[in-house]
Amino acid sequence: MEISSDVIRGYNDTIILSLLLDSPSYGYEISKRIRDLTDDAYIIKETTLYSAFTRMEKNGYVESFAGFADNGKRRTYYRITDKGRQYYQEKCSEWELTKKVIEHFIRKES
Amino acid sequence: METIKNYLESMFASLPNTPEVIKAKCELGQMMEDKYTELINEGKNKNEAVGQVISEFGNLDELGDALGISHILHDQGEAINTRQVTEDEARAFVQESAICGLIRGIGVFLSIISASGVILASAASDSDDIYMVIGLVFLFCSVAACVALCTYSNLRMDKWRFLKYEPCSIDYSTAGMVNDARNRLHGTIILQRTIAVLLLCVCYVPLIVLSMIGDGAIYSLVGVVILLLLVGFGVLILISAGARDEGYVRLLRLNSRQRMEGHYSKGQDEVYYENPTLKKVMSVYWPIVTCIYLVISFLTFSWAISWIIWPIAAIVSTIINNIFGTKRED
Repeated sequence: MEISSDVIRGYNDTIILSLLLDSPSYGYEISKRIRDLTDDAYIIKETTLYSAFTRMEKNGYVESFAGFADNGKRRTYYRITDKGRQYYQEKCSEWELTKKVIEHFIRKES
Repeated sequence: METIKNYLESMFASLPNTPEVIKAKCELGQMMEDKYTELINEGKNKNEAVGQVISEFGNLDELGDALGISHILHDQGEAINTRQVTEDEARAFVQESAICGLIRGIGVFLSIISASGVILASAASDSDDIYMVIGLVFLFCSVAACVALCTYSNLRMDKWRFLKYEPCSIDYSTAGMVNDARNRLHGTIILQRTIAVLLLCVCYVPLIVLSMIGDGAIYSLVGVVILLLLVGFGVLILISAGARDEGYVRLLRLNSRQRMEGHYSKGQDEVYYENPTLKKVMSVYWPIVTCIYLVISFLTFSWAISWIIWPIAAIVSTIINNIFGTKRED
């Protein structure tokens, strides 16, 4: 079963921010980690990832800086800001609540 | 990797050329390249890797808000108005420009050497007037041929007028093809121009040598005729090489700088004049120079020296362009 992009859209930012909590990263690494961590259940599209980056940068949740890949190519890296951490925490609690709400309507026995 | 690049280019082709769009394109390109490299390292073959990268790229609509271009993504009305020049048309146009350049070049060549018959006739002036008549006939015939050839080449180019007056564009791969072809030809054109300039530089040598060998008027007159031939050939080569290159440049300039399709000819845009008087004068600059050249040449009959008007005129026009002209920034 494939995940619906409509459902997950509201949490792309949360996913990306969580991956940036420990260390700065760049586009492809993030998309790869999302894929690996979810066992290929969620493959984020490049355009989705990029629009999330620009939106969050505009909102001040992440900062971008130029770095260099191993092969010497320029690459844009992103790091999380304090505002981003705070937003991440809010989103986490929001998710807990959402999960709790939705759980009420999910019938396990069928 | 080439396929991926082309895919990305074609996705972005119709978007406006703004810093945000350029940045997005670069960064998406990076991500795709990273993914492609990784997939290849994992042992996937090229086609699989390309397929996966492209299928996981996503949809440009998502970028609309990030780039401030949602209104463009949803309003493609503007794109319909430009006439798309196909690859075949591009090839045909380039070929046609080269042929017409050659025809025009031959015309100008004839007009430059037109006086040589009269000059040779005046060398043999002690004999019949028949030579002079032949010389004059040659003069008028070659001038007429020049006019005919130039008109013919203009008529031939007429069907390509739309490139100049209608909004046209070429797609990314055609632009790339044209640019490659132009780069391949670059060496040849430089060689041709060098030969032409050399011809113009050495054109005096035969005249000097001949007038040193013998002192009869015939020697220096033959020297003048050789000079005209050399200048004629030089100009012929310059015109045909220029027209060939110009064909490529015109195609590459079709795409406006506001869009991402690839605007190749930076710094080669036409020059515009702020001052309306200057603008009017400059629009008839070359016809005026031609008139001056012909009037002076026919009045003084010093064809050996009057051609110097051309290089001087070229330098003057460059100076005027640099001082008063402004390049259009779209």
